[in-house]
Amino acid sequence: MPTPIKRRRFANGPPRPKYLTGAEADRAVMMILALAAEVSALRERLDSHERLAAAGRPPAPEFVESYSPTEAVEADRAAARRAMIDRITRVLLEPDCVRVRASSESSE
Amino acid sequence: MPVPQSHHAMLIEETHDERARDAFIASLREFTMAEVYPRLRGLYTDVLAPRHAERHGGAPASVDAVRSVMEDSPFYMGYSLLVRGTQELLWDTVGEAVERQLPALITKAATLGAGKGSLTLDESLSLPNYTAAVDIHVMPGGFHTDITENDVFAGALYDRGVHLFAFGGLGPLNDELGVATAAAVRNRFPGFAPERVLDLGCGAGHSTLPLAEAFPGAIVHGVDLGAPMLRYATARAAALDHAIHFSQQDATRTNFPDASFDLITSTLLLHEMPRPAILALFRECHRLLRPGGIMAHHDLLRWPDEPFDAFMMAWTTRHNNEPYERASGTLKFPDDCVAAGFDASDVFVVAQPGAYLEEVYQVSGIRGARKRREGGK
Repeated sequence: MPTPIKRRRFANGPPRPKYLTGAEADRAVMMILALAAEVSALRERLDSHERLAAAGRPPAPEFVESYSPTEAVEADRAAARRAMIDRITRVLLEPDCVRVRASSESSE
Repeated sequence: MPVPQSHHAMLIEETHDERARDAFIASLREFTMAEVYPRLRGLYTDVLAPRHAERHGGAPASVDAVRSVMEDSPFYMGYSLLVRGTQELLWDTVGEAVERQLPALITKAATLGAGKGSLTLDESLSLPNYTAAVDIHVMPGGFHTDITENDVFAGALYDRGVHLFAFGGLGPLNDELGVATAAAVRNRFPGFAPERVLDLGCGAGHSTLPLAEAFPGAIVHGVDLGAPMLRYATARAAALDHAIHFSQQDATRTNFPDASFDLITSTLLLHEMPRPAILALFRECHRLLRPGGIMAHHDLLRWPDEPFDAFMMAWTTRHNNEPYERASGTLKFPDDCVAAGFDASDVFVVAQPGAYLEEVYQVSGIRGARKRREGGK
């Protein structure tokens, strides 16, 4: 299998200016996490609708509630959640070495 | 999630969207523990420790020094915020589903009753200060708070919540640590057939039921401080057709007579207790054991000395409301058992890599002691 091509996700240059600090920023991140759970649930609800429609079932709430995903559907959804988490946490989990490199370059 | 949770009559029912929120939280847990956590060591050894050495002429030499470089790291702080945020979100998300159906769960518990087992609550039991002071795992209300009459909230919350926390790694019935404890006792003491078994800090009974399975015919008791956990545990055991006798008691001073049990266990209890309470618990085990009986505690086996490892081990102390964790890791074996009345030569340790999160809890296992028979082994 060829090595997957990876894009860079952080730009070199001076450190990002500081915006938020402290407990208020923490609270905001925790609200975003809760919101992300909502978005993920909404996305899976839409997926249930699409799969019901594809099977010729009406997308009514009772069919959504009783819809039971197959293992293959569960695996697709797990992969979608993983990809979404990766997008959401990009900035929060920015590797330190990016900043190290950026600050040393900017001080040269 | 790799392992779905087994349905039983007391497990909460969830809507489509509640299941989806749960799945997102389990994915977040798996992402942070399986993918992000392992990168922290590399961050420290490849980036932070060398940077510290360049400025100060050596790697951080103490846990405090490690803390100061780690807490300066945006990646580490991002990881920590993510894990703490996921933990709070987990309890709140499952809590909403439990709260919605709490009256129905209480009715179910009443209908199930205690099956072939029993439940004895003690309203007069005073909660030790060390438990009252902090809701372990940042689970609101802890294991002990009743929010209504005949409450089962904490049990229902923990049963579903811990499954998501471990992203299924504790098995379909959250019982893999209890299964491992029973197996370790059987392997270490071939032919040991306890008639009476006691599980301390039994919670929802996740680790109590495997004892009944491993030692068929034994009379199995479970004690815990938390009434809502015990009510839930009783109904759950009945739903799963196990005869367990639950009672609300402080494991360090129970009301059982001397020499009541052949086997006394605990699972992940010691690391939530301060040292004086653990020592009192060992003394109580010695009092309650019959000659030849065994105490076996499944928990941390040691606390790392190396500053980075010690710092990482203390993550849950600082971030997950588990203030006493270090006490269990720094117990003195066999000395602390000898002080409780056991003989040093009867103390045992069985390393048992974690049933889940092996990398994080690689120093866990089962340790305990066998009470000496009169005049011999």
